[in-house]
Amino acid sequence: MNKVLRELIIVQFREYWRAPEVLFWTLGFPIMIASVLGLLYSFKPAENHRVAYIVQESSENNRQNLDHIKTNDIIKSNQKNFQNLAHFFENLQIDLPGKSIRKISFEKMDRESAEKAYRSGKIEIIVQLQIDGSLQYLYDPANERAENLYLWIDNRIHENSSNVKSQVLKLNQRGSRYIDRLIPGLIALGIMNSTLWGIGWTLIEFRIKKFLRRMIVTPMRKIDFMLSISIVRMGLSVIEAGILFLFARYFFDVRLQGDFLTFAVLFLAGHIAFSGLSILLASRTNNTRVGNGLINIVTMPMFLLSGVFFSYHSFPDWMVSIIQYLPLTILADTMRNVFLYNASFMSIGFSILYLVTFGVILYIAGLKYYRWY
Amino acid sequence: MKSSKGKPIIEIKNVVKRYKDQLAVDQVSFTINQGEYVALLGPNGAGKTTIVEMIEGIIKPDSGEILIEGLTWKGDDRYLKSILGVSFQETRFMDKSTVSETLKLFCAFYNIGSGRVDEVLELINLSEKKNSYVENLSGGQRQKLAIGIALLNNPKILLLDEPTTGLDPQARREIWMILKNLKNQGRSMILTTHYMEEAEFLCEKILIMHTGRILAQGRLEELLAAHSEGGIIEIRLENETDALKLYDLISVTDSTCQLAEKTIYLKSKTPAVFLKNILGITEEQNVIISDLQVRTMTLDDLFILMAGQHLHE
Repeated sequence: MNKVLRELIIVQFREYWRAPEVLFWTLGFPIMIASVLGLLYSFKPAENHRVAYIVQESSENNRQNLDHIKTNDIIKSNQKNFQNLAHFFENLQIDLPGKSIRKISFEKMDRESAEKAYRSGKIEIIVQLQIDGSLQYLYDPANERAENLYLWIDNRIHENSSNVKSQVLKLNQRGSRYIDRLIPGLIALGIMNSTLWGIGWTLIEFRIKKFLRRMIVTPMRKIDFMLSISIVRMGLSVIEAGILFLFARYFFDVRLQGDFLTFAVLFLAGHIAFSGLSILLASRTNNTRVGNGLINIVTMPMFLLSGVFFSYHSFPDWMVSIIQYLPLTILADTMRNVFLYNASFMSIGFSILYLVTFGVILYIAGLKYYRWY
Repeated sequence: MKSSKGKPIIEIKNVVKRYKDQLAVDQVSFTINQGEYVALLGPNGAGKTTIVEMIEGIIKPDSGEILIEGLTWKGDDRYLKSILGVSFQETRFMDKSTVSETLKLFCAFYNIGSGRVDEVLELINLSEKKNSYVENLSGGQRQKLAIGIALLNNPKILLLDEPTTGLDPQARREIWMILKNLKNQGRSMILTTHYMEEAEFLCEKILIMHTGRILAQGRLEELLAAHSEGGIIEIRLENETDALKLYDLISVTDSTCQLAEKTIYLKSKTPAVFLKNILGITEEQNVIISDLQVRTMTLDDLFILMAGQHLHE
């Protein structure tokens, strides 16, 4: 190794070594994330899949098939033993292909409750035992996890009773598809990312450039500066969300079922929440590597846990009780309620109040500790 | 702005500032009168920037008092910001803003009409660059822009922290001329620098600083007159061992003697007599002189005699 190269390497390592905060965010933070996620996914039952099953009640039409059922011993046996089969699944610790250990629990529901649970993301698949002894699986095939779940359940059932007929009903009408749940979640995620990276990063960069310091020695009011940053980012977030929504509307026929004004107020509340958070995160550091770590440590857990891509209800209950109060979870869930179920302004009042209060408190705390120089 | 020299506009009284275990400013006191151009002259780490930042209100002194027009930063900050014009050692503006857009932004901060932009562009000789992005400006042009921003509000006090550090001689001289042309408008200026020529060219009053203290202050001619009787003798030796040997011998009898690397500086009222003696000593001790100068004192000499190092170190 030539001397120049060696010195260049040494000098760069020294930069890390002599800045412990950078060392932490470069080496410590990934280890920390890996440890936390590793613990979550390795030593605990990481995901608890909930399957709704419906036992179709006898009706006039169904009774017409009764003779057929009586003649088919396998189906009769299946129908009779369905509860036992479900009980068997409930307590089974299973290993899904290529995944960690997960638990599947079956919950008996009526059709209406099952659909409601499906729409809210609490369950990903509905299994319906027909009066003729056959099975119907209802889920969105675009949801890979639901598809895996269907394959696994169906295989297990056929291992026990090879003659059971099964049929997949695609839940892909508007409002019940995976994409319908995904788009409001992505809009919420977009607000978080755009705000935290946009505002947080800009503030750190301005501090490094000493531009903040230059402005603060003029009579400019600090609040005007902060508002300007927030308004600019809000404008960009609106454009981002608008493009995403138009794309989803044009290609997937995703529609806003709720009131636009309610959606707009929720959007603003989300922006306020994450603006406050970004100002607090960027309040002290003048190092982009530290800023990068700080923003990541906040965004990554929410990205993984807040149910943007998959329902957080599959996490253990103790985790769900924490996850549901994360600002991204509140924003994404409420946005889905407005998008898919036409939730009224009053019904989402708590979420809006929660997000605005969260943002204002962090904003005040951030400004209190803010380093302008 | 009318000229009314003489009235104190900035009063620094027994100011102390410490950073962790380092004393940056140690019991500093001085007064600047309206219309005065004052240089804080000293090497890096002398405490110049700390003093200027305390005047700007960016940092607070640990003890002592700073009065600007008799006011303090407690409660009068908005007014004080409106009468100060500030240029930092280094500021980067928005890269994708043009020069005139940048000036216009700062006009808004001072609630000044954007008509001031063209006036300032002329003052700083940057009119032809008004539509250029900041990222495309040279170092000198960026520094001119920084000074332009400092001048936007027609400030009573200009605070310029090393405005020409890192610039080439031509750009430095251009900035000197801009600042020189601003004189006689009743405006006061504090300029920190480690360029002796800059202090001499621009400022009538000079405060020489070293390790947080003021070593000497006064008008340039006063400072030099107080120390320049006779002449400065500069003896450069072949090597540091010889320099140290000779320094030890001279310093016993001459307290003004200072050693900087291989060169000995001293002040003598009778240089001719001293030279005769010193040549005898060098022959006796077998040390070799590589260069010898006798001249009148400069600010740099004065600083070396006081601090034992060059201004640029």
